[in-house]
Amino acid sequence: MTRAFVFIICVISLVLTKTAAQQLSDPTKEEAVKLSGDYYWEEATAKTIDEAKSLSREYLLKKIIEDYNSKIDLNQVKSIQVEGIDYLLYIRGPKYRMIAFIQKKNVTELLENLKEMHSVEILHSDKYPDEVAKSEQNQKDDIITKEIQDESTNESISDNSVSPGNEKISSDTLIEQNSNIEDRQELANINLIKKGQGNSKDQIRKELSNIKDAAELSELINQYKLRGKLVFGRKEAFNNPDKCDIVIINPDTKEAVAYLFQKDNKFINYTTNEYITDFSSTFNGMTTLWIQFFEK
Amino acid sequence: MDTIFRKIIISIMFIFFFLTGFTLAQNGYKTVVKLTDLPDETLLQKMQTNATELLTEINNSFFQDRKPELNNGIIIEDAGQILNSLWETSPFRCYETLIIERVLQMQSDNGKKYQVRNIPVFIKDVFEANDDTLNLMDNNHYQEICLTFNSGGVIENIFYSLEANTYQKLLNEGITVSDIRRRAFILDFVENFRTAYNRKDINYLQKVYSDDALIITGKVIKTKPSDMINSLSGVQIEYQKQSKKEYINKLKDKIFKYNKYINILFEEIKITQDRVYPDIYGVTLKQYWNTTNYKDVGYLFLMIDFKDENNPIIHVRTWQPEDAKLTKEGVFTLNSFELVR
Repeated sequence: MTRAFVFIICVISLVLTKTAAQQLSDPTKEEAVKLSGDYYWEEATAKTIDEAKSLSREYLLKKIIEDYNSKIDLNQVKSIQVEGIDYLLYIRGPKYRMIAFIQKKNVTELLENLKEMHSVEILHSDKYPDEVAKSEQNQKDDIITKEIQDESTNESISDNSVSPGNEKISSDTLIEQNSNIEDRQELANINLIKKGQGNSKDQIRKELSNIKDAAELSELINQYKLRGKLVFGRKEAFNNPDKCDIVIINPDTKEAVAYLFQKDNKFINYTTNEYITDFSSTFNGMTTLWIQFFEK
Repeated sequence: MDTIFRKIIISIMFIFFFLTGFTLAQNGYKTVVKLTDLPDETLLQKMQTNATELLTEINNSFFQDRKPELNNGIIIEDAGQILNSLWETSPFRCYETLIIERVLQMQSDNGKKYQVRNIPVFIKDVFEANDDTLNLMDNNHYQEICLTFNSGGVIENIFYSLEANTYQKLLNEGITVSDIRRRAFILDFVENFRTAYNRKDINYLQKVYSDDALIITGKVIKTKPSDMINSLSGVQIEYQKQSKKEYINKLKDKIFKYNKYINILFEEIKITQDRVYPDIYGVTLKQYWNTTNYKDVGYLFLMIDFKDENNPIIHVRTWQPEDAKLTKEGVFTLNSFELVR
């Protein structure tokens, strides 16, 4: 049977913005994505990173399709292969929150390509109006369902075309980019069981100050946040930032370089007990994470 | 001498309470709300300001051990009362210092209203007996709230919302625009209905059940081996019928009275529309009921009449234990009841 629909693969390249600045407590990336108007974005929360990612991608594609359906008859499209979707990963309460986003200008390029191919395919669809009508409603969903069965060849065409290896997982929760998702999931689970069991402020401080890896530290801080032991954010968020502890992170190496607490309006390195006389110059270019404890 | 001593003691106590209060106040923090997807910039700004004020006041009240105090420009009186009743059951604070969310628009008969969803909150004192480890595993402290704004950008409702993906999925199942709109209203109703139990709002519940509502509660009967033949799976359920009055009195005099905190979660929500009466919807959901003294899991079915969209009425409420799935009659749906008008 002749194909009634065209299978289009459009590969778009996304010039990824430098993601080094995406650190815990620095929500500039989320703000840029959500508020600039330059991106299509959708988010999803789920118990696992994989599920959150899959759902956020599904919602994103659906959003793009809804937005463009009035301009181009996307029912003609069997599958869109999109490369260049980027992700932000957060931890919200007991769940992972993933924001899938793509620059609008790249989507416009993709749709321009579709438009050109679409004008040719209209002739085809005129030849097979019954098939078009029958499948019209379902085709929209086909674009985002996991597997599409091609009528003519019985080939299985997966739309799961965004290869995980190519995706940049960027996060302000200090989760390393390009690292293996399953590994991180496992890491999170291990942390849940073995770590994050401190109760007093001192226990928690000690545990946090011992961790150098920013991703691991992020997981742990979020566990304590979930337990209501602390809250973190920018300095401006707190009524009294002089009561906060500060984690200093090197954005290039993604390592926690110091854990500071404050006493008598002075910063003290928790590990070395050294006084930091000039905070700004000592940690110039570093990312700071302000933590407020709810324990005495 | 005695008078001087008393004055000293009073002064010391005053200083102590002042310092304690000051220390608690110091623990407060802001939650800044940034919103998007609303073309009216003035309205957007107002909603952002009001949401930020509300959440920051909630955070500060949490640590100062007092009720939130907000003026009418931020929240309407009715919503303020809803917040107070939620607060009385259990105070909460926002998990985050920054929230960036979309504004969702809803068109009702009373005009436009707006929602901001997915605001994570930490609930205090969920269960008295629970220790930290148990709370961590059960995630009992975690909830998400939704703020509803009127056309002027003032907060007009606050409720615990459904899990974000569930909400999205159920909306997406709508086929036509009007169906999606109706679904949004149904979900809005379900969320408010759930929150009414959280805040023990007996007046709201009294209002939403029709006077002749059919209320059925099932319980599993332990069967002897010889009785197995009567059921496919060996599970038998006995159903008890209650009047609205009986049900409401039981809620008021027993359940609400003896449980400090009621945590209800809804999952596996299914919405169906009656073929003959399009204003009648059936909502089936899995309910996790978790209170200070008791918890269970079961299936809840609600037959809701949306003839008056702003005042939906429940005609049928059934609760079946989880094992109902295994029985011949299964979980109740719209098809289980004959509707005569």
